[in-house]
Amino acid sequence: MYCIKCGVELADSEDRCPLCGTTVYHPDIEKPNAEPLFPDNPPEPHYTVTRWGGLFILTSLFLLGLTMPLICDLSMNGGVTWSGVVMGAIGLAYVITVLPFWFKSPNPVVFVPIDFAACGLFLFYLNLCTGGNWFLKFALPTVGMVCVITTAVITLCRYLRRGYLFIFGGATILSGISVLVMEWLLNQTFGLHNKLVWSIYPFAAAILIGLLLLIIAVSPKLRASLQKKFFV
Amino acid sequence: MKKRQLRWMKLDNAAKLYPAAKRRDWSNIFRLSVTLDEEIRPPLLQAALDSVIPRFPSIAVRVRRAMFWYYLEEIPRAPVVIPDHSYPLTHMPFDDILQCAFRVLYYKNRIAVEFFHAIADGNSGIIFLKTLAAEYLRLSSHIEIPCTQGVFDITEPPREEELADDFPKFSGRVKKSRSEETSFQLKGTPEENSFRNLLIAEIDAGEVLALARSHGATLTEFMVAVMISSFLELQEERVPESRRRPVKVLVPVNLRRLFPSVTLRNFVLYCMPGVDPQLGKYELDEIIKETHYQMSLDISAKKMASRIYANVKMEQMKVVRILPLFIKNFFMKLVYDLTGEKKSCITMSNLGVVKVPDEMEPHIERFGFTLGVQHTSPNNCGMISYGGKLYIEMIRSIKEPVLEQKFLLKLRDMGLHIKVESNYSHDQEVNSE
Repeated sequence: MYCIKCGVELADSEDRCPLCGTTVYHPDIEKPNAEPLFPDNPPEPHYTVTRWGGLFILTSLFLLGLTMPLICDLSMNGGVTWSGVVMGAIGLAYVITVLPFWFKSPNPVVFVPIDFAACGLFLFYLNLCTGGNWFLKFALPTVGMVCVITTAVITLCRYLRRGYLFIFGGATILSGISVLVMEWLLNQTFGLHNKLVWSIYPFAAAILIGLLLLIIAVSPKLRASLQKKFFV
Repeated sequence: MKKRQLRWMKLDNAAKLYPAAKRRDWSNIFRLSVTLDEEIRPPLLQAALDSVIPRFPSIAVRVRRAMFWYYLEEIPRAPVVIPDHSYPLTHMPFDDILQCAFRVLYYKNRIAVEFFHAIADGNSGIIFLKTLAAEYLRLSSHIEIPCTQGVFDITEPPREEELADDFPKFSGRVKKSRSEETSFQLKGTPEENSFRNLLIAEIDAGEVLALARSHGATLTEFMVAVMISSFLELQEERVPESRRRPVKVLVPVNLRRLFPSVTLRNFVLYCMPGVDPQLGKYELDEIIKETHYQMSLDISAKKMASRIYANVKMEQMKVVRILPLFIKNFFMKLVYDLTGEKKSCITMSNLGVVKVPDEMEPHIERFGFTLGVQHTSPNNCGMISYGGKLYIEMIRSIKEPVLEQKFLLKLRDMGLHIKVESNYSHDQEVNSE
């Protein structure tokens, strides 16, 4: 067969012309079956440092970071005092940055709530250490709120794969409301003010941005016009 | 039983750069292949390889590190032959090169050998491949093949002159090197997962030779000129006039044709014909003339000897010799990265006509010669002739076959009949611009 565009003869193994991509087709000639030039046998990917090797090194470094403050604290104070906070922070950093990579395809829908749970635990430990009573009244509802909003956004983005403007518009409005709730909780827990003071501003901004996103989402004409003005 | 003492040898002058220039995802390799008239049987190929490697102690080697230099050490047993991959010249990691600096692959009727360039050049590689193919045919078809036309007698011990680094031997007495300008570099969309696209064009060698002669050039000069013309057009389409760079093609020169050498180590230098578009617009006939005269002037024993002297002198400097390997590596890599690949647009290597003993001929369909791409320049081109056909093997690490289009369609426009074959146009889109 010949490529009708390039005029070069094509080997029987070619489905398209390798020069121009034109498909090989002739209504009267049946394309003969021929072996491809190379087999379908991609080489094994080569890593100088394997994923597991890298994770092992990172985990070892984190473990070193955990034990060093513990040893110092035990030798200086004879017990766990400040080192608990340091170890908790290092543990939290490990859960957030390294733990997901032990899995082949970590699902953020699972790991984001786990991260927030670890964060909650760390705050609970801080609450116990400092003898405070702010965990149940302030930290838990705040972390819970942020966790629910973040997880909802990630889940919807991952499984719907459309309607991003609705998702982010709604999430921005919810974030604005959560800032209001956060200030109210702060006031209730620590007795700062009797009314809402600073949270009004982020709330107003979030509502405006959120509504704008929702308006863009429901108006195809506006979307097209914005796309024309701001394409990259 | 007393363990056999493994032979070791210093890297030859040209090879010294290759281990230093390596990268985590790239090393300088090339491939030679032979297609037989029967499907390859891996156990027989392994047996043939086992028998052949003692005859080639400078090729059946691994690269090793010493305090001041790399060196080659004979391998005690042949590497295991492996099935071919989806594309030629898959990455050969340096860890593998430290174990064995070549690999033997098979697919259907084809035997291929991929060499790390520090151990051999195309001419010694083709001798190794022909000897391997002859041994395979002896085992599979029980035919008697005489040891002529580059097929070595594997029962003979290797000769010392085959293992010698002939660069110092044929070095001149004065240094002659010329500085080269940076040339135009073709860019494109890199292929995913280091895939290499290979396009093989088959042309009647007699037709090309007649065409080249009608233009007053040799086949290599003619092809190089057409390649330069293709690059000039590509640059015209992509680069504004004031920023256009010279277009040069790196052409390896087999020094065995200029000097009485039978070495199986590297013994090649290069010449770099080209034109500068800033001087004006070039027609193809002008380019052919330029290429012909530049190559004729450069490729002479005396000029090459003076260039060998420049390289050998550098290697023999006491200050350089006592520098630890890692420092040498650092500087060689730096020099290579800053200059090495940027001086030419492409490498075009013509291995010439491959001849085999008459007894082998009915069993051999064709030979192949593929150069690996450089790390930064995405295209390379190897040429080899066998059985009255010229095979042009164009490899690229980018998606767009723009250079292949320009080059081959120019040849088609000159009336040559071209047959093309590739490893990428079976089930994927061809990205052409």
